[in-house]
Amino acid sequence: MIMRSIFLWYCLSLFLLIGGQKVSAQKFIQGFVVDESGERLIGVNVIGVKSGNGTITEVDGSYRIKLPESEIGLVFSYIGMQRRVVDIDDRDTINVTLNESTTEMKEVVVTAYSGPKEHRELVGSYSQATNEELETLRPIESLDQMLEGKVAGVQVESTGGEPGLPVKVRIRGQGSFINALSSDVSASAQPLYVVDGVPLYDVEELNATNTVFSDVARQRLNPLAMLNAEDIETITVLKDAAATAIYGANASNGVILITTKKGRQGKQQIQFSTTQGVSSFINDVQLLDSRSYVNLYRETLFNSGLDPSLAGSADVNTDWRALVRQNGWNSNTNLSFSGGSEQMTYRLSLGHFYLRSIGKRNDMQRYTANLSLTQKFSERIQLESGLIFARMNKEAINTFTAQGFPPNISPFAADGSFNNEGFFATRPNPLAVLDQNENEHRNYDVTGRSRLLIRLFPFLHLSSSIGINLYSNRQRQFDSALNGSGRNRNGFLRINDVQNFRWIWRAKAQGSGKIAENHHWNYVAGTEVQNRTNERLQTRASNFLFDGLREIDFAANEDISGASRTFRDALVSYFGDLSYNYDYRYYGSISWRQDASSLFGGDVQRAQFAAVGASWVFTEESFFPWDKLTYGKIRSSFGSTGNARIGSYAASGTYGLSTANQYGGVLGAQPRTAPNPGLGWESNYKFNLGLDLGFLDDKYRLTLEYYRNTVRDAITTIEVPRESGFDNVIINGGSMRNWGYEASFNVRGQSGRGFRWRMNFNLALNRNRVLEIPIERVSQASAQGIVEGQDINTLYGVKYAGVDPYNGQPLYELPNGSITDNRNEAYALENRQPIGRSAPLVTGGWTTSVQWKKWTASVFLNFSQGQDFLMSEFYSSDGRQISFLNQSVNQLDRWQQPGDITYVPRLNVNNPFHRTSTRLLFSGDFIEINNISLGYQPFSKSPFPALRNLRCSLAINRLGIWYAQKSKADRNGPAEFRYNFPRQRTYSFTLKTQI
Amino acid sequence: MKQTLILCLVVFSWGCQDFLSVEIDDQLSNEDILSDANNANLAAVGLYNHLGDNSLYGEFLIMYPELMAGHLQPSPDRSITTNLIDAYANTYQFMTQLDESRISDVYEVNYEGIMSASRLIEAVPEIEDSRSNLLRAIEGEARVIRALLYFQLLQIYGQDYNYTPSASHLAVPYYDQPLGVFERLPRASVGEVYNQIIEDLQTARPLLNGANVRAGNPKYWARPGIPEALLSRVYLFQGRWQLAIDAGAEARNLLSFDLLTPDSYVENWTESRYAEALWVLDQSYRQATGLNAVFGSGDSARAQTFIVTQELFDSYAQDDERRQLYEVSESLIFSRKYPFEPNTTQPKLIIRASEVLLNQAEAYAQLGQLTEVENLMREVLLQSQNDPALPSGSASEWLTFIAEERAKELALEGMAFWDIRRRQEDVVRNACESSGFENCSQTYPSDRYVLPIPQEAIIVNPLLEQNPGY
Repeated sequence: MIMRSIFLWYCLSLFLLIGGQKVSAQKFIQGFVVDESGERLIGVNVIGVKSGNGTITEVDGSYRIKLPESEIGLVFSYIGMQRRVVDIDDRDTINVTLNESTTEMKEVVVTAYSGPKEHRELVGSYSQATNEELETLRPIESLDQMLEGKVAGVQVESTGGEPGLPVKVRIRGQGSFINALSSDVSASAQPLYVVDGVPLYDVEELNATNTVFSDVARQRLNPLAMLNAEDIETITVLKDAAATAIYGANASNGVILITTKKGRQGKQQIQFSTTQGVSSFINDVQLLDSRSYVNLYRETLFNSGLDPSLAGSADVNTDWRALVRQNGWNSNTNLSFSGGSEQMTYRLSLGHFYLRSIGKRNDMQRYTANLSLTQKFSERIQLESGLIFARMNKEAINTFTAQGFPPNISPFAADGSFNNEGFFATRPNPLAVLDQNENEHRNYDVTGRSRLLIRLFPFLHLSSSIGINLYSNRQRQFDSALNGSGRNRNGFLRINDVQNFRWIWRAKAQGSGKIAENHHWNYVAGTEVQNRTNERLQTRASNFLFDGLREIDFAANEDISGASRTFRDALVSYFGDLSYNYDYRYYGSISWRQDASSLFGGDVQRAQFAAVGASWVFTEESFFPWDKLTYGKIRSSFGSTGNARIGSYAASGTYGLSTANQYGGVLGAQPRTAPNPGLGWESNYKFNLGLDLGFLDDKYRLTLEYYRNTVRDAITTIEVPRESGFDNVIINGGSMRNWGYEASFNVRGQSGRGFRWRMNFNLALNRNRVLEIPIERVSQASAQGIVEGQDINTLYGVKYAGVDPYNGQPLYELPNGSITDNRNEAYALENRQPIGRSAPLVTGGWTTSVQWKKWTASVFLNFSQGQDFLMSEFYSSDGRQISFLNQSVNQLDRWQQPGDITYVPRLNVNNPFHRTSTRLLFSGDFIEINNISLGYQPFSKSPFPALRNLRCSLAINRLGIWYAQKSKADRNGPAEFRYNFPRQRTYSFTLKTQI
Repeated sequence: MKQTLILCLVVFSWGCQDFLSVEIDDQLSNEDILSDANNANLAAVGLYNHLGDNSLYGEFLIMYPELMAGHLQPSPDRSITTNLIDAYANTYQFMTQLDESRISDVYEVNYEGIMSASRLIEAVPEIEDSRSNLLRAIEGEARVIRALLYFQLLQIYGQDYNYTPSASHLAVPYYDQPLGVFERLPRASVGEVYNQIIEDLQTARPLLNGANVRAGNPKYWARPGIPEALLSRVYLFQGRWQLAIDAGAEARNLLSFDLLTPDSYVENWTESRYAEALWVLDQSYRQATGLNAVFGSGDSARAQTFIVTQELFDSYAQDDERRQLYEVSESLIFSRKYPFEPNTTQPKLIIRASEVLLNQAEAYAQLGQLTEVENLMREVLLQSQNDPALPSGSASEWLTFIAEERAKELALEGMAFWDIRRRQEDVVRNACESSGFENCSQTYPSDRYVLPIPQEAIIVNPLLEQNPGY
C-alpha cells in the first residue's frame, strides 16, 4: 500500500516536473532593495508582473533578474514590508526602498474551506502562527509541542518524557467530558488536525478496550510526530463557531490547520539547515541512597513486627538511573529545493531527525520527504499536488520503573551475569531487559493531496480535491525468556500492526462578486466524502526453543495465536459558507454543514451544524476620530459544532467475538457493549466576542476575546447497576460550559540602523462548569470527577491533616472540618471534597526577538497558573512499598517518636496509600524560560552565497523553570514531582544557509 | 485528476445509504446472537469461557476459599509484594475494604455471566431451528451455569443456609429474565436464591437429556448428570440430606468416570488426566500460566507470592499418596495439582466424583446410616491409600472424619472455606499467625464470613443493603 502510493505520486510529480520546464530569456534588470533606514534587505521576492519570472535579493540586497522583452513591471514583496510594484520604463537598473507595513492585517490567514483570507475579512476567531514565529530552533519531536505558549487559549501538555507519544492539546479548555473512571467512554477531546486539507489520524478516538487491541497490548504514537517542523508554513488555530462550524461533526474541540511550505515563483532556492543538540535531565526526583534506604527499610520492618534483617545490607549502592539512562543527543538536518516558473512551482524537502533519548533504547529516528507542486495549465486551470512521506523508527523499551528500584540490590550476580534471583525473580532486571528484549516501532505516514482548480468566472471557481492519509505502525515486542519479563512464557513475541487509511474527496464551488458599488459577497459550497479503514493485526508467539529464535514461526503451532480486526467508518457531508460585506466596514457570514456518519445507528445518523458571525471595522468609518488607532474591529459569532469521535460502533449493543472467548476449541462470543440506539453527536454551541485593535500603523496590535462554549448532549458513560451484567452504558447526557477570556498583544518595532523588535504576549483564562450530569461520578483512584455545578477539572480527594504527634498515625480533615484518624471514613466517597484543579486557569506565553544587523536574539517564556497535580504515591508509600521501591528523600522526615511534628507517618508495611490525598497534591503554577536563542551571521561579506547566507544560532531549551511552590532544602517538591519522566534541558546549535 | 474522476463516479453510483452502512466484523448485534442457533451457540460457548475469568474459576474462586480456610497463605517473606498479594492481603486478614477493585470485580463478573445466561434462557426457546437438540442443550447449559454462578454468589456474599432458621437472611439480587440496564433490584434472601438454583438445575435435567451436541472432551461441558451432581452439593449445603444422597446417586448413574488407584493418583493430576472428574473447565485458550505460576509446582525460578501452608501438608499421613501432590522446595510448599508449564493453564475442576461420594457420605452420616458411610468413604480413600484407616465409632466421629478427609481430598479446589461456613465452624490459621498477619482467626457466627457488597455496586443501586459489619 505504501509503496504503491509513493510510486503513484512520484510518477505524477515527475511528469509535472518535465512538463513544467519552459524557459525564455530576453533582458536583465538589476538593482538593490533597502528599507526605510537604508538597511539592505535579503530575500526580497522580485517577480515580473506579466511574465511571473522571479528571483530573490542576495544578502547585500542586490538582485538580478532575467525577463522577457515584453515585461512591463516588477513586484517587490517581503514579509513585514509593503508590497511595491514598479514600472520598468526601459530601465535596466531599478533600486527600490520598501516601507515597513502594517502587515499583519493584510497578511493572509488560512481558513477552512474558503482558502486564504485577509485578516480584516475574518469574522471568526483564528490564530495563526508562522514557521518563523514558532521557532524551529529547538528540538521538536512533534508539531503540537510548537504551539505551547504561542497561541492564546491553546494548552499543550506532554504526558511523559518518552519521545513520540501523544501530546494532550486543549483549545479553550476541556471540550468533552473526561473519563472520570477508567471504564468510561467519552468523545475524544483532541482538536481536529488538518494537514493541507487532509484530516490526520486521531489516535485517541478508537476505543478498543477489552480487546487484544487495547492499549495494554500496544503503545500509541503521536501522528504529529511524523511531520517535519521545517516543512510547516503556518499553523492556524480555529477557535470559534464561525471558523469551525464548517468542519461540522468533528470540530467541537477546535481545528488546527497545518499548511506546508510550497514553492514560489522565481529562482531555485536551496536551503540547508542542521541542528545538533545535547540534553540532560533537570529536576530529578531525589531518592534515598543505599544507606538511608536500608535504615528506613529496617525501621519499617521493626515497626511492623518483622525481622529487620530482611532489609538486607547497604553494601551495594546501585544508581539505577545511571544504568538505564544516557546523555541525550538530537540531530535535525534538512535540505530543500524550491522555485518555479510561471507554469509550475515546486518544493522538495528532505529531512532527517534523530533523537538519542535520555532513556536508553528509547531512541527515535525519522526521515521525511515533502514534495509539493503547483502546475498552471492556463490562467484558468491549475493543479496542486503534494506528497508528504515520513518514516519513523522508535524504540520503546520501558525501563522507567527501574529508576525506583532499591539501591541496595545489584543488577549483576556474583559471576557477572544478570541478577535474576530474589528481587528480580518477580520482576525483570532492567539491564537484562535492555540487553535482551526488543520493542520497536516502525511507522510510515503518507499524506497525499491533489487539487484541480478551474477558475471559470470570478464568481465561479470549481475545484475537486482528493486526499489520502496512510498511517502504518508496526510494533514488535520481544520479551526474552532470559529475564523476568518473558520467563513465565519462555520468551514472548508480539507483533502489532495498525494500518489506518483514510481518503477524502471534496468538490466545491466558490466565488466572489459585488452588487452595486459597496456590496461585496463571496461564497463557498461543496460536498465531502470520507472513508476510513483501520486494520489491525496482532500475532503472538511464546515458548521459544531458545532465545536466539525470535520469529513467529519458530514457536510451536499451539503457542502461536493472533487476531485481526477491521474498523471502518464513513462520513458524507455537505457544507456552505456565505460572506457579505458592505464597503469593507460591515461583515457578515453564515456557514452550515450537514454530516452523516456511519458511527451512529438509528435516526441520529445525520446532524446539522451552523454558525453566524458579524463584524464591524469601525476604524473605516468616516466619523472615526482617533487616527492613532489605525485598525479596529469588533466581531462576534455564534453557532454549533459537533463531536462524533467516540470510535466505531459505540452505539450498538453487541457481543464480541474473540479468540480469547474460546472454549473447548470452539469460538465464543461474549456481551461487549450495552445497547444504546439513541446515541448521537454531542453538540458544542460556541459564542465568541472579539475586539481587534491596531495602533500606530498597526505596529502595536491587541486582540481581546471572550468565549462561551456550551456542550450539550455530551457523550458520557453512566454506570448502571452491576446486576445488569454491565458497568456502564454510553449515553448523550449532561452538559458543560467552558468560558473565558483571551488576550494577545503583538509589537513590531523598528528603529533606524537595522534594529528590529518583535514581541508577542498572550494570555488566556479558562473556566469550566458542569451544568448537568445524569449521575455524578467521582473516581476513587484518579481524583477526577464530574459533579454538577463544579469545574470538570476539579480534583476530588481527601484532605490530609498531618501526623498525630503522639502515635505517628495519619490524620484527615473531613469536609465538616473535623479531624479524624479513621481512614475508611475519610476515604468514603461521600467525604471526598474538591482539593484542586487538574487544568490551569491561566496560561500564556511571552516571546520577544530582536534583530540588529548580523545578530538576532530571542527569548520565549511560558507560564501557567491554577493547575494542581497529584504526585505518584509510590515514592511516598510510608513503608508499604519500600521492599521493592526506593522512596523519595522526603520519607526521611517520618515520625519516629512521640512529639515529632511531621507530615510523614510512622513507617509500617501495612500503611495504606495516600492516593488522591492533599498530601500528594502540589501546585503546578510555574514560569518557564522555555527557550532562548542567539543567532549570528558570520560571513555577510563573503563572495560565496552559501557562506554569505550562513546563519549560526545557539539555543537553550527549558533553561529554567520556577514553581510558585518551592521545594524544601534537600527535599523534593513540585519541581521534582511534576513529571514522572523528568524534563530535559537541551543545548542546541544550528547552521542554516541558502543559495 | 483521473483518480478524482473515477472516485466521483464511484461515489455517486454508490448512493449515500450504502456508503454509510458499515459492517461490523468482530461483533454481532444482540438481535443476531439471540435469533439464530449458530450465533446463540457462540454465546453459549462464551458463557463457559466466562467461568474461567480471573474473578471466577481463573483465580478468585480458588484463592479466596483456600486462603480463608488456611490451605494457602501469602509468602511468609513479608518483603515480597506483588499486585496479587496486595489484592488479597486485606481479604486474607478478614479486612476487605469496600473499594478493593480486584475483590469488587467478583460481584460484577458473576452477574455478567448470569445476564448472559439469562438472555439465552429467555431467547433460545423462541428460536425456530431444526436443530432443537442443540437449542435445548444451550438452554440447559445456560441454566446450569446460572445456577453455579448464583451458588458461588451465595457463598461469597450471603451467610450459610442455616444462619437463620428460615434462610431469610440476605443473599444477592435474583432475576431469571434479563435485566434492563437501568433496572434495580434489592437483595433476595438466601432461601429464595437456593430455591431458584434448584429450579434451574431441575429444569436443566430434561433439556440436557437429548443427544450429545458437544464435540471434543465431554468433560468440558455440562451434560446429563451434571445438574444432579451439582444438586447433591446444593442439597448438602442446605442440610437436606436425603435429597443430597439421591441426587448423588443419580449423578453417578448418569455420568461415566473412573475412580483412581494409589498408583495412578498423582499422575491423574500431574498429567492432567482428570479420570474421576465430572466437569472440568477448559482453560487452554488462555495464553498464560494463571495460578499454576503462583503456587504450582515445577517452576524453578518462581515468584514466591503464595504457598501451600504447612498445616495442610502435615494433614496427610506419610503413606497417603495425596502427600505426593506437594512439592517442598527450600521449605516452601507448592502444589502439584497445579503443575507449572509455560504458557499453559490447566483446566479447573468444577465438580468431581470424589466430591459426590463425600457429599453422599456426609449426608448418610447425618442420617446415621453408617454402613453406607463406611462404604462410600472406603471408595474415596482407596483411591489414594492401599489400606485406609477408618473410624469405627459413632456418627459424630464419622462426621469429623469426613470433614477432615473432605478438606484433604478437595484441597486447593475452592471448596474449603465454603465447607467450614456450612458446618458453622471457626477459622483457625496457624500459618497466618506465625507470618505476622492480623485477624487470623474468626469465631462462627462472624460478619466477616461474607464479603461486603462492593461500594461501586451500592452507589448505582441504592436498593442494595450492605452486609452488617462493613
